[in-house]
Amino acid sequence: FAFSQLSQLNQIMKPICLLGHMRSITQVRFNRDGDLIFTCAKDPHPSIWFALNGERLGSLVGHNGAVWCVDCRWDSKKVLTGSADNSAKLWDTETGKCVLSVDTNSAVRSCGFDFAGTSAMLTTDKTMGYKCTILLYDIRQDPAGQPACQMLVPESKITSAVWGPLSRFLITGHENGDLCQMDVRAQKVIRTEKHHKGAINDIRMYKDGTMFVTASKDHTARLIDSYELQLFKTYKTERPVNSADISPLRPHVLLGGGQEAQDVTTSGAHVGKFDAKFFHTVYEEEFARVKGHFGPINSVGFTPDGRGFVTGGEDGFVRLHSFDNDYFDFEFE
Amino acid sequence: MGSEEDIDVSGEDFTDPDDFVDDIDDKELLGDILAEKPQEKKAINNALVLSGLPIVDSARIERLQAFIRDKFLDKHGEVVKFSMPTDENGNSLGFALCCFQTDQQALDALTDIQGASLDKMHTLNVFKFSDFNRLADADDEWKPPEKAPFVDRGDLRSWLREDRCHDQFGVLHTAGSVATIYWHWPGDPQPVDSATRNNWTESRLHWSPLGTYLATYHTKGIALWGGEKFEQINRFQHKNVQIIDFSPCERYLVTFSPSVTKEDPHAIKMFEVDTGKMKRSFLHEQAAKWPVFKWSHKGEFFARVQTGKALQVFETPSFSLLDKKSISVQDVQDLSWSPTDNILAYWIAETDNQPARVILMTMPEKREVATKMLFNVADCRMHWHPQGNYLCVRVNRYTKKKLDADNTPKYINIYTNFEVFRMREKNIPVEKIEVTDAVSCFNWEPHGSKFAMVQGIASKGLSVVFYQVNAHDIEKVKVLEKRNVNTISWSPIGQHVVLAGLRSANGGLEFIDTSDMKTTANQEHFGATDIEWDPTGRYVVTTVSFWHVKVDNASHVYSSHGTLLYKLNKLERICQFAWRPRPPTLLSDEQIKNIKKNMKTYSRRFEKEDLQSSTRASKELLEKRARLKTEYEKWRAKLLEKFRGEKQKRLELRGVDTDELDSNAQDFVEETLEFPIKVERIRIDKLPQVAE
Repeated sequence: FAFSQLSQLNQIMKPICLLGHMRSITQVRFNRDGDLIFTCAKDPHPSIWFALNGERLGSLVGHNGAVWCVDCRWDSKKVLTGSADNSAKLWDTETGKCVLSVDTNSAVRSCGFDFAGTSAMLTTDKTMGYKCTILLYDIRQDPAGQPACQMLVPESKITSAVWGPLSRFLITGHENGDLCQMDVRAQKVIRTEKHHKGAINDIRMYKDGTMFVTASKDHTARLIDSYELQLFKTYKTERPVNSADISPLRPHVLLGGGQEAQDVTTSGAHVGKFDAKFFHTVYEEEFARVKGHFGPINSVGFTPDGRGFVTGGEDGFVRLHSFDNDYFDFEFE
Repeated sequence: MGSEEDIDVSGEDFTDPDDFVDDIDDKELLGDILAEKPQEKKAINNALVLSGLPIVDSARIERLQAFIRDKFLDKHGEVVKFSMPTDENGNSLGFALCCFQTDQQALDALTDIQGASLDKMHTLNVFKFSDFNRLADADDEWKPPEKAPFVDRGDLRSWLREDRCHDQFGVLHTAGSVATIYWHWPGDPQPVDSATRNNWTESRLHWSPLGTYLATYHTKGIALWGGEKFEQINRFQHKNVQIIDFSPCERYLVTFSPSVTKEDPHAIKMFEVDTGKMKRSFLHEQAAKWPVFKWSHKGEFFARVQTGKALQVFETPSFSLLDKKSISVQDVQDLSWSPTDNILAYWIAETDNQPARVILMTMPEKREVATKMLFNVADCRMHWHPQGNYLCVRVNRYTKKKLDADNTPKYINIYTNFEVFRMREKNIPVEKIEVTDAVSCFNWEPHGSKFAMVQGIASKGLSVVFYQVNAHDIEKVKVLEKRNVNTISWSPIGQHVVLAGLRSANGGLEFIDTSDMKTTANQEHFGATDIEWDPTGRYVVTTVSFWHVKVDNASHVYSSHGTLLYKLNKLERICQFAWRPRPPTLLSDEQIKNIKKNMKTYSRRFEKEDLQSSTRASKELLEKRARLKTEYEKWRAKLLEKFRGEKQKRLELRGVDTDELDSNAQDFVEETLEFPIKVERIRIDKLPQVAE
């Protein structure tokens, strides 16, 4: 019955396609109000869009490499981007001007503002002899070139990172599947859990910060609490999961992913399984799929009001969907 | 501990103290080399004792010697020594000794001349010299063998007594390291108690033909499992066993292993399933397709072809040659047993002055019941109807034959004939169908009189052709053109058939009801590598096996009409899906007919039961969901408590309440955005010139 559901959803929902990137989308984010969409891709121009109609507000010009991550401050006034050009930049949302740029030793893989919006964290890749590093900057000091503190990550590199509740610690997902709580200021690992067998591609916090969902190369997404890193739910698929998000409105989890391009051996779009998949948060059952992308989905996100969602794919498209009324009426018996 | 390089050994003294006694023996040190040490041969395997010879006087002894050597021995190799002992009067004693160059020659001679008759009075009895001592030492008094203790293995057919006649199936998954036996409860298969085991088999799962036993492969041999809890029934030692075959009666097991040693040169072994005793073993003499030995339908006989030379038919339980000799047939190529009668079919290749022949022979009478001559034959294949009603011989014929440089024949313009033998009619009449295209699969409809084949070549489009054997003719009933099909899979009860394009053909499935030749469903299981009907003909399962493809390993279960019932995709890396076979039905054809007639009364009952079980299942699901929901709510409540406890801190950090989207509504600023809804294009060269 999930499939009949899906066909109905497909017919009624008319997604808005945001065409602006020349290369694969790497991350898609909303601001807290949900009126702006921030996208970054493997081209050097992160973009800001109106969520209302998909019109582009503007691009952030300054990077000269793929941009891996983007984050918007809680008050929507500042945007943070991290790039493979070994730099991270802080931008003014309203003017699109770069207000701060810091250089790193290697590509910036993930970035994020803390809860108060006064400091920013970056994690860098382990390449060219440089170790994977977590950097903390106090963005109130202007100009600030030096990190307030930094921490080397000796083992498997960080593939995704978010701040924990009240930004007391970072929650980091690693290439080997480890999930850690890191206190960067005290330079220590508080807790390590191994819930995943493959790299953790994405971590997305629930709106209240008490739990989060991980997306992993091991074909699963998992619901985990922020305080103890206790595993609570597992959502299994047939393909690597690149990104996942928890609906702020309904007990649903959205998963995006698909077979990596290099592993696709046979033709046919259905082989790669590039659909966005909806799971019931509690019952762990898949109940709907949304087609659209013709490459793996790299980033997904619900709108902050839970009335729509956005997906960004390897195919370079960002698709903004708003749910039809059927979605809100749909109940598991 | 440091690695070896770290240790400085220059100052050390490694000599043994004077009183040191080495406690390691040579065997432990160089056991592998010692095993190859030349040893004096205790048994002389190249020597044979020939007994059962006539007793002759000194005058005729030389003639007898010459006769025996000429007729029986010389053709097998050089006879190094031959002697015929005599008594004091010079009369022979009725036996002779002979010695061949090699052990193999002696063995060949033994198998060939054993039981050969010299005349009406004298039959040769040959044995190895090495057996002589053993036989001579035999105790004169016969001691009855000890009675083996009775082992209660429980009811080996307990699975057949399941209330609703559900079937079982075995799944080998997690890349072959875990095997699970399931009850097939449609939509919700349940693992059988204690039948999920790690490393249960090292290669595959193999059900016995009636489903009584589950055979698993191991380096040391085969293990059989059965009963309600799948306990071990027996073990059969055969190192590196690769392939096995049960007799149709499940009493015997044939195993093959490519690793043979000097001590044990036999690659094929035959065991008795009940006792675990090895009954006979064979050398793997010539490359042949498995099964090398083919069993008659009740397991009374098994036979093999010695290509070009003879048929060897063996009897059970003695495991000796029927009538103590092989049936010599020049140029014989292949044989096949009827699945329901003791009739053996074999074919003889064409020679320069003789046509090819297909011959049907009854066993054990060895009476030829039918012969068919065929010309210009490149190859024959025999397809028996599953109920033995017909035998279809697929004959690949040629119009021209060339001999290559190395004298292997090369056939040009191959076409195919089908010779259909009507086994149930008097004198077994034969009919012929000619097909001009290449034929790639052929299958009889079980319990019916249709057969289907795939014709054509893949690049030009394949078609599936159905034929029906009527009382007086064979009719082409349907041609389905342009089908990407490489497998025809009939339901075991007939009527329904699935045309499948497995492996590289992408996994298209066409379900056909052959009573009216209508397609009931088209399905696709992308990349499917295997297809298997359940033994009752109710379900079809397609599998993408991890052995062939590394992604999307799953089994899909369809109804006989092609409705997808459910997917078995929770198990990781599925390698094999195997339905447990069932013994044939005990109902007579008459009874089955009656049941079909009264289907409505039965189906009403089953529909009711189905409804009950589905409501039960949905009730269980609802209960499970309710339980999950309570657990989740408890977990959330704990987290929310923590969240609320931090409210003050959050307020401090942000200065406003941002817990909900609208909790800082008082700070909201109204914004007006303008979007252009109409865009006009004006060509620039038409613009009024602006003065610099």
